[in-house]
Amino acid sequence: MASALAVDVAVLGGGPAGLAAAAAAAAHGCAVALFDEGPAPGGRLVGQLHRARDGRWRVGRDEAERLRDRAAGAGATLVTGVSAWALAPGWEVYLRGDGDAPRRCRARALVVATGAGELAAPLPGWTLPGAITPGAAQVLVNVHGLLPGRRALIAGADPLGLEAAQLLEVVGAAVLGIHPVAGPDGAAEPPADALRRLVATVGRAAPSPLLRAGGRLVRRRAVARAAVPLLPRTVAGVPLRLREAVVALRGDGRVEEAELAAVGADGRLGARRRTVAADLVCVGGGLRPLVELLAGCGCELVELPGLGGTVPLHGPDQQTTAPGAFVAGGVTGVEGAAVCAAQGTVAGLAAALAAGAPQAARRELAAARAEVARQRATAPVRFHPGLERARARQRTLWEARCAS
Amino acid sequence: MSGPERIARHPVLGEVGGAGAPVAFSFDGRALSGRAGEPVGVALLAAGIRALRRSRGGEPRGIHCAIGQCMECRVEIDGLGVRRACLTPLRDGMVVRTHRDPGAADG
Repeated sequence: MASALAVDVAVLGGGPAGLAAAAAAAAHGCAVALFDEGPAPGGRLVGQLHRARDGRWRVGRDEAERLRDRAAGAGATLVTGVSAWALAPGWEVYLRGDGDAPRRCRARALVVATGAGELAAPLPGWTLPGAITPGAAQVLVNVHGLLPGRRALIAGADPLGLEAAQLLEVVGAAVLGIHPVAGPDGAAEPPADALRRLVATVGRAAPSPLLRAGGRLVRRRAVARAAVPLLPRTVAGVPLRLREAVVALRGDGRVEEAELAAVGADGRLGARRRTVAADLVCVGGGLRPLVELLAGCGCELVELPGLGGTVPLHGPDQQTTAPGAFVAGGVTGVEGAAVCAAQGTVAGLAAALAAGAPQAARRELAAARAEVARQRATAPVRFHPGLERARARQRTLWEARCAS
Repeated sequence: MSGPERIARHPVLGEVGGAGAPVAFSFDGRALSGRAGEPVGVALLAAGIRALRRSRGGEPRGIHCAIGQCMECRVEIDGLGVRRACLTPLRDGMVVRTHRDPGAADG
């Protein structure tokens, strides 16, 4: 491959958003190159595995394969094992990979679909080998076929932690429990608040019927407080312990044990400590949009906690404030794969138009935008409880900027 | 407690992990084997090796995010330099070493 490429549309990131964008742009005759750091396209989707409400397993890698075939079938070039490390308006993408991998790519339009990264929880001992993110458990077990430990503890009671518990249990690990993480202030989230947050995020997909059924009730704090003692002791066979937080991890050169403390109704920790032996701890601090590439190339960013952090200000066609640069997927706010792919189609169509594709692409935009709304309305998981409000706020900010 | 282990057959997914040919490589002089094309860090973990680098303070660090974002799994590979073990495909004869930051404490 030549060291410099020139295409109509460059796509950064090969998850569901990037693959759908590449497919949409290529289908309208654009020369498309997609770049991803990973060994194969698919992004986080390739490691995802959860049991749907009907009891059937949803296998992310099958969906990733379908999206990849669609992009490749439409004529997009998919380049893996290559990192994009900088952007220059115009557009120029700077790349790094081994051997004869391209070093630069020139493009008329750009789709940035870098996704979301996991945040560490500031827990003493989180840097010990054997302390991994829930996403790493997905990748090691479901992609690479490696069980990284036999006795696992989940530190972080959120959608990713629940999924990690489930996927480890499936391959025979002993999953000791799903616990909240104590903060550096020596307190944890009050159990009733943790329950309300869980219901607001995974309620629709919860593997526990009780978590689902209780959903409506516990939206009120007083009811949630009363419901905590009635909580299911297990979710998909794994103990759910919102009243016991992980306060530290310890071990000689690797994780060997976790220290736990009781959490009072106000979130304060009890003085008594309990230690459990574990050789694997999934430490999750949630997800945040990966916006680094967009900073400093003319894309205005805005901070919206309901979307997971700082996101590029973007319009209904996934356009940013930088001409010719579009965004889709986790980088615009943390949501599930189906929403990401739907956004990717919109971004791909809009990028194709910006790169000079025939107007036929414009006629598909309205339907593609409606599909984003439809997927959002039926999404099984919300990663942040304030998602809808944050999306509305984002729209208002975009409109205000366009009017000024 | 036994260490990490390869999953022969996933109960839901069936075949998981690469089907690469067995290859020989080394880590800090120790002879090991893995599968061609799988990430170096996965081959090391399968061999029971979790600590891949030393922090500035000399603490052991290993695979944390497994998708190239956290940079905690850096190793030194002959001919390639400092690489993320979770992303770099394993090749026959690779010579891999613990990464130490310049000026790092002994650990």
